[in-house]
Amino acid sequence: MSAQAQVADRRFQHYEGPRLGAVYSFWTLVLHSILWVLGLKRSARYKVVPVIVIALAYLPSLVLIVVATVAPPGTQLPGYPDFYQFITAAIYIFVALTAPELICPDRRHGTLRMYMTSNLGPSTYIFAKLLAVWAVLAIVTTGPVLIEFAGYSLFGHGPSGLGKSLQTLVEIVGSGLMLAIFFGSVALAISSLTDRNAFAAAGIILGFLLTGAALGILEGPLHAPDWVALVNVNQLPFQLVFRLYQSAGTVNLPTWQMAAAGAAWVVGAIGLLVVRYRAEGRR
Amino acid sequence: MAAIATADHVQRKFGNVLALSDVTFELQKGVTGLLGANGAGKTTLISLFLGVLRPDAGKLEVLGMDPLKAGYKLRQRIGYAPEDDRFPPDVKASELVRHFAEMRGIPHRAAVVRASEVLFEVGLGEERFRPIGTMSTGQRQRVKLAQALVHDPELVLLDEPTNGLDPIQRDDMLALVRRIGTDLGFTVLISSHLLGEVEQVSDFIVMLEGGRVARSGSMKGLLGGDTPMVVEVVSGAKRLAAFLSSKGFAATAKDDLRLTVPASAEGVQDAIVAGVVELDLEMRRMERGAATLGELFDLEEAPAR
Repeated sequence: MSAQAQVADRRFQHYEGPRLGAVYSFWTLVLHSILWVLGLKRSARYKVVPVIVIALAYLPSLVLIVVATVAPPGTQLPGYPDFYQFITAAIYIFVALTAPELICPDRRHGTLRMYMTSNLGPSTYIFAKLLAVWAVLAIVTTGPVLIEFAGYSLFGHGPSGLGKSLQTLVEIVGSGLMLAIFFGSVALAISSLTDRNAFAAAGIILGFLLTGAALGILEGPLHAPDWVALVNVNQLPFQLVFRLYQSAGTVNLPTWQMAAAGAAWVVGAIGLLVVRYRAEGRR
Repeated sequence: MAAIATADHVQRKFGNVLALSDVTFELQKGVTGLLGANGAGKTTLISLFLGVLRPDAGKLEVLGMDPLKAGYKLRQRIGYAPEDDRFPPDVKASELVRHFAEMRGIPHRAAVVRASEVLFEVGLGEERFRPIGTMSTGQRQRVKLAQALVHDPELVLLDEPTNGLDPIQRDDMLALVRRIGTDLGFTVLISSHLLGEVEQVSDFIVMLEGGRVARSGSMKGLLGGDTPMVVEVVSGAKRLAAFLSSKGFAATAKDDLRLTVPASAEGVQDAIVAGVVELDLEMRRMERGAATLGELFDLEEAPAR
């Protein structure tokens, strides 16, 4: 017998080690959820769609960098807040893909009840899922604009001076996070109304697009009052991005009203989630 | 012996439906069978122990804590396997068990090791890297059991763990539950609507009927102790009961094949033998106490089945 040989006792042993608290389990669930929706540590078929959608979101920024390399200095290139018009569809598809996948399977497969009897309760569970959806959405709402910024700066179309560059960087990250928080929260709230991914995804896409189309008609041809823009979930967050970059956008309302409306949407969505999951936890 | 959990006059309603009413019992170390028909309140009681439901009245204590106030500090000391077994189909058994160990506070490295150990223990050593969707119902039930044990809880709550299993799988699962209660030393509460299952694995029994505790105690106590003498004859039990009554014994015949008479009465065995001889009956069995819980409930007219 080799000197290195060991007898392995694989029988069940009682556990004597540390037991960590709710904070550890919270962050474990956040990380698990992010990996789950991106298809990481899952079979290849779960990776394909997220990768394609992320590629779609990043493609316009790469095109703009190519344009920046050939455009002479001083050429008017699309600004950072304008960039979102190129990736709105990718953001909608990504949010419709990720938000339902984060919470619907747990209800459909009965694992939600197991979470409710773990270190997490209904509120900690749903906040972990919110953090995960915000982080995942930030990949498409922040990353492409950061690449655009890097490309512009590298080829002489970026902001001049360190101070201005830092300010732009803060604006880009702030806008991206704001969009991720807005769309992620509303989409997760919609997803909490069903345990089928497909229904939730359809609800998210239709909710954003139909609301946008209907309110667009009201605001445009029908000359509805300006406040209608505050309930337009399709436009409000993008218009807030313009305000964050200190540009007017197309909505004729004070910034504070738009910010308050955006916050109300997010708070309302989180409120709905907490109420729904407190009820689910007690089923 | 200190109780692992207690329910003291617990009541819980859902709207106008009274799910549990005046439920009082103590959960002792060992395996306890929670028996009751569908809708008797078994899952509600388990949810109350877990602290995910609030009782309308009464008091609960689990491992010395109030389930509503203790939060995760109590939940990480409880293992719970829900009735549902529709796990994510593409997740490997080892990953699911590891994840729920982490969700109950076991650090990542230890969770990986323990997930393997516990899957070996429930008989899924070779299958642990298979996606759950490719597993049989019996194997999924074992995964569910494994995730309830992985964090080494002090109390394991199993809600109908034999649901959907064929008779052979059911016997295997019950043997496993019995083993985790005896060899591994877990305190287990197993709910079932099948009397035979509870009888097979339990040291104690709590029988719920319409949200109330109809009967509770140790199996030994229920099957022996003050239970009546059972006499079975080929026919003529009613005549024998009349004979015994005439001799001053409170005999009851529910049909012409079987009668019961208080076992503690002095001279009862002699009287029974005398009656059988005098009435020329053919006796098949005379036994103190019921042989099975089913027989006990039959004798006492309890609608347990």
